[in-house]
Amino acid sequence: MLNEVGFVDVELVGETGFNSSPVTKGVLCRARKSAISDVGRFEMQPKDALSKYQEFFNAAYAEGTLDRKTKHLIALGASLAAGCDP
Amino acid sequence: METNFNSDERKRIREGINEKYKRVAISPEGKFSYPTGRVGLEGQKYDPEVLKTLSEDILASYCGVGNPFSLDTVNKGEAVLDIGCGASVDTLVAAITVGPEGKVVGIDLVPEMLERAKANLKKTSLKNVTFQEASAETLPFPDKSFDVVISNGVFNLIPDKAKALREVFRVLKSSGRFLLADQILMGDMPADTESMVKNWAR
Repeated sequence: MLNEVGFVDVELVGETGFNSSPVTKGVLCRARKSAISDVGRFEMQPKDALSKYQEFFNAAYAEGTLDRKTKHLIALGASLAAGCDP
Repeated sequence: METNFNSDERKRIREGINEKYKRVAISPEGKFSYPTGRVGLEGQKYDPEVLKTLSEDILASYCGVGNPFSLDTVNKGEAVLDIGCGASVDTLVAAITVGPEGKVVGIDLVPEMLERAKANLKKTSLKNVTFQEASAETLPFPDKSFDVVISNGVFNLIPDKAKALREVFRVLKSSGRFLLADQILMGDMPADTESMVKNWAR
């Protein structure tokens, strides 16, 4: 159920030994909200948006006057200059 | 797995919880099949240094089923929510752990329990704790309010567990942790809703 809600690293750690009744057991459990849970929401967007972006990406890096490797090196230089990860 | 209770059943579940826990608020002694109070806290290996700072009558009000703090480190300065804080022993342990730069909120459904929690808080010098009467199914906090959510022996009493878990997820910040001690049912759910409602908080 915790996974369905969106938690990650869900772990049933063990029993506590404190049981309320003969048919229940005390347990310890931990879960974490992902650091990129908002990015996860982006992934839930209609597939169209992602595939259009992929089309743009492929077109931009397609072999042309400049080859693919040169374009990637320019992108790397630009992203470093802008202070962002490539 | 989940049972959809109608409004009458939910009302009776709530009344059953209130009935039991207003007695527990006076003293948990003899009302659980496991050790409560100081013996319970020591059995669950709470930090003796933290327990030392709380008075005996505060420790006596503990009726948790496990130690949420054994699951992960709670850091100085963090914001913690305790769902179903009861008499507030875990809330106060969290408040000592996060220190004056941190803050802790305890919520509970049972007014008598919150009164006991406030009385316990008054016996300390902690300034970073607040209490609210609220349901776990509808948390009265904005998204991403807390670094840590703890809960001890409470989720088994919540009729709509999926809704409550979605609320925990919503109020946690990114990378926030949910540290849970609780009772799980071994074997099948009772097929009979009537007996389930009647025995909910027993």
